[in-house]
Amino acid sequence: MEDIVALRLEETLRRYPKSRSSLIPVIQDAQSILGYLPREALLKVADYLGVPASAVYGVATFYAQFHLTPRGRHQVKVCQGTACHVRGGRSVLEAVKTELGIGPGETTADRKFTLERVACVGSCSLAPVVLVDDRIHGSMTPEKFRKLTQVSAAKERARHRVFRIRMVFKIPAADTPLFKKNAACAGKVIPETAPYSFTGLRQV
Amino acid sequence: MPRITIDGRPVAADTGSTVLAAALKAGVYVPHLCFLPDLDPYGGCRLCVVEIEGMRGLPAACTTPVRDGMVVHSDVPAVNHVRRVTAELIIADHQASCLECTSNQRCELQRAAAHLGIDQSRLRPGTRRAVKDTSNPFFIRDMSKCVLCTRCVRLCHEIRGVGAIDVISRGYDARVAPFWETPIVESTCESCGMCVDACPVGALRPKNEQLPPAELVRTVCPYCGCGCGLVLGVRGKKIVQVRGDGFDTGKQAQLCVKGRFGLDFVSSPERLTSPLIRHNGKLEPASWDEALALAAGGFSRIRDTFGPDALAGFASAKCTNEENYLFQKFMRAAVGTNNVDHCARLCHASTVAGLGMAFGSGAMTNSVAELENADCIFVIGSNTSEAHPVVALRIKAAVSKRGADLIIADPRRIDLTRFARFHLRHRCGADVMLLNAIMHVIVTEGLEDRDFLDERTENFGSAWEVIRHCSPEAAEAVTGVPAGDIRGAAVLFARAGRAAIVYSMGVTQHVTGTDNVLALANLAMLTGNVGIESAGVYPLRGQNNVQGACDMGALPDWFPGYRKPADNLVRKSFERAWGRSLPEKPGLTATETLDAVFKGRIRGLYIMGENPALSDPNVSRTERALEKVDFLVVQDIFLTETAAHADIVLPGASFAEKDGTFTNTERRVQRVRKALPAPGEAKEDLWIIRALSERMGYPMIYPDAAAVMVEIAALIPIYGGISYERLENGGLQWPCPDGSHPGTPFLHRGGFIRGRGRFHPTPYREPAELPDAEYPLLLSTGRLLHHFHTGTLSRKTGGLETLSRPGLVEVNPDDAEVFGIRDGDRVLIESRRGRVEAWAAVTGRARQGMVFLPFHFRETPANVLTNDALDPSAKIPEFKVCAVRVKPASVPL
Repeated sequence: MEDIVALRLEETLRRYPKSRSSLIPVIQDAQSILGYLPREALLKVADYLGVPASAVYGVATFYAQFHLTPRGRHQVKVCQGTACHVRGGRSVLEAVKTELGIGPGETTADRKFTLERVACVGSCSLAPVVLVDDRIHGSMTPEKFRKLTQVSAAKERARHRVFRIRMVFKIPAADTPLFKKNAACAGKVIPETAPYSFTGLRQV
Repeated sequence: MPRITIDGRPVAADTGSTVLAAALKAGVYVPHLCFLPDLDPYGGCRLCVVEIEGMRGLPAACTTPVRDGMVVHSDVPAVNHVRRVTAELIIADHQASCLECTSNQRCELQRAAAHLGIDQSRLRPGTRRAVKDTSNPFFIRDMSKCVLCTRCVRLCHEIRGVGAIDVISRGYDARVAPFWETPIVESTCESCGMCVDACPVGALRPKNEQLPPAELVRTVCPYCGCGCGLVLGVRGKKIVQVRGDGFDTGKQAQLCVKGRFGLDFVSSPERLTSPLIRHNGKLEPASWDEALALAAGGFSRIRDTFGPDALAGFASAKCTNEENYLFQKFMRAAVGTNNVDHCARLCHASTVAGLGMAFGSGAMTNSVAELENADCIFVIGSNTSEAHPVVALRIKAAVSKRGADLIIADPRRIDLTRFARFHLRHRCGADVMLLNAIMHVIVTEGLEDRDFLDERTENFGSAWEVIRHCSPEAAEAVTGVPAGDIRGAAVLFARAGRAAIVYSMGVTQHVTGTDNVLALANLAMLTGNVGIESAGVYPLRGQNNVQGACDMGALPDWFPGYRKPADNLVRKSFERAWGRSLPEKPGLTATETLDAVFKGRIRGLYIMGENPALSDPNVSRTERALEKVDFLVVQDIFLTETAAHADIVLPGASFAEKDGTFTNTERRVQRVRKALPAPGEAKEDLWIIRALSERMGYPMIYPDAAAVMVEIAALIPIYGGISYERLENGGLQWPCPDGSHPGTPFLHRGGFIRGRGRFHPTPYREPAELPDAEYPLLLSTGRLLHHFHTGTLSRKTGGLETLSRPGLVEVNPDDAEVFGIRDGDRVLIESRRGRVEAWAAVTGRARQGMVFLPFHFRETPANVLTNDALDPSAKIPEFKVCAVRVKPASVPL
């Protein structure tokens, strides 16, 4: 873990009492800072709370909300609930898989998309549906999805500059100009929420 | 006692018991998988559902407490139907290849299925991933057979306090795994193997334990002073299985990795199988007659030429009470000298001296089990979870089950600090200052136990004269512990209802060892924590029988039972019993003996089961002494570093090959039973001592070990009521003065053994050698979990070698930076006495300014470096502090 990230994690930890009951909120916070839960972060949490690392890992793997691998910038969720299923949800999923070149639970090599299959998002009247981040796209077809990704890619290019800030996982050596610039940006962009979460960035 | 009815059968249940426990106790089988008597009720497997009149649905018997008058239906169709479906679901998810499973016929799932009459699987097989983890040297984790009862998980968390594994993921994917699903050997697993014994099926199974034993022998673990009961499974003159002995409790007896898996040394091909005699500089096999005649001849010649005091003997804390008793009797009566000592000199001599002066007895005041009910536990200078793992379980349980407060004073961040409220990270050797400051706070805050001080103790005034100058601020400057932490810990300790003090080598192995112990005794008395249950002072004894060897008088200044040779009445009584006149003058201690060799005062040495060539401080000097001594006889089970210097080597028997008793750290005398014959020509040590004694004109006639115990009981009042017959029903804690006495769980009840507890002033003195410009770091030595002492026993088990890499020296990251050392570097450690090469482990475990080197390994003999400066009264060397410098080694090996 890079120093700045480690520092932010430590700051977060200090806000919580050293007790097992803090575990879930702590790793929720850790994930919102880091975008996912890397091994070192979980070890740090375990060490701070005095909870065995295996128990932290158990909780982090139990809940669907926690991720142990880096996530894409966009979360694509393809519904496979009953309503979506009868209206062709499966072929939508196949198309999404082909289009992104990844399976459910995976992230594209460029870290742009993470694909997940979900079971009902409560929008059955629009079935079949696909969620891209928090937005629901109804009556989905393979064609429509291809278009959607193209639009998203265009938007992405427009935002590219902003995203770059988030992508600075590897902090350059201290005292170099790039380091100072990144550190300054990181501080500015994200006052409260995470430097690497999508919601955080949208507030810019 | 609640009375309930199970399937029409009246059953008397224990109060607070569950329906399942009551049924099983009454001999009614109720199918179950997740239940284990040692663990909290869980209700996970749902196989033990029962019908209880007046209760809705089918409650799980294992989570339902009994109530008087309860009517339980277990073996009825409605219940069995539900159980059958549950069992079928479990079986569908379990790789059932029973014939090729080592758990066949011991499998609890098999038993449940048979009980429920399941004869075919109706359900589609599950999709459980077959992951087999064979990384641990001692056991296999085969998750295709796991039934997710989580016994292993709960045991690891609840009882062992380790938590190496947990249930991960959910639903069909749920499985038991270590953190990040690494191989178990890379996790925090301590390899105790208790989960293996707890597994109801074959998912966890030991390697190298395929053969079921033909015979079970109950005995005692040969490693540390915890004195855990073992059950050895024997087949064809080999130990094929080792379990904890739960005979007394009905629960799973906890062991550590050494006791459970570390007994390979017994059948090691390196065992000595015949006597050896040095011919032209080489040790060559010889007959017993030759060896004994030569040994007896050599000793007699020296005795007759130079007098009996030219001979000295080292008895052994690894040998039985009977052997130690005979050994010292041999030295005193057959040879005629008090020059007999053993390795207690190197570990708890300061305890025997210090607690003796303060309380009147050097032994641990209370019992290990009582720790669980203490309100506060102060652990100082003891890495309990590695050096005394099973005692540490009690400390962990006190914290996690009862909410006791744990205070740790240790320069290293030992594992137990995970459970601690305060970790006082003081500089090595500053213990007295720290303790004085703690007492300073207690008195200035008015938290001392006035009544106890007035009624039970004396001389507090003179102790106070020293303590009053030791404010926490003054102590902070010396110890490096923040004054606030000293205050907090002191108040916590003083306010606790029952506070126990646990200590070990970190306290005793200093030139101020006796002062350290006296300061701890002062602290215990100041807070009124002596003579009551679950409080007291716990010096954890290092060896399986170091307590016993001391009790038996294998000490130069004490006759058996801690009686003074100078006391005419005492001496006369022993002279009557042994038929010889006995020496009055105290003999030489082990540490002084080696000096005397150089001065030519000691010419012959008889060493039984000790390895000073690796265990004594400044070993290059020790080796020179062993070389110089005219005549050296070593009796051991291996050709140790010490035996390699001998003129005659006599092959003894290991713990598994003889009868006898060990006395553990809580004064509990326990039976050691013979399970195997000694290999080759090797003989039981009792036989050897007797044969030697006979050849020196002092025959000792005992038909067996039991007869020796009869003599011990007759001569040592605190062992007066101990006999092999009584020990059949479990151990007895001395003092046990007569045949009807139940033993003494804690000492000093109602009054100290010496009358009044005595305070001693303990002014702070610096260690003999502190870091300076030339040697800027402080070296401390100690034990690791996986090894024991000089490794003579533990290093014969290959698996233990893989678990602890030999030759690592712990260096603090800050120091590593200063001295240009990176993790994994080959480094050179130098002191004024020698140099050792080791691999650097850069870790925050070590305090800044100190390095830590275990003393188990001949590759990195820590005692080449250590200082042989002695505590003036106890003559214990300062193993824990010396000055060294560390630098990268020029040529990597």
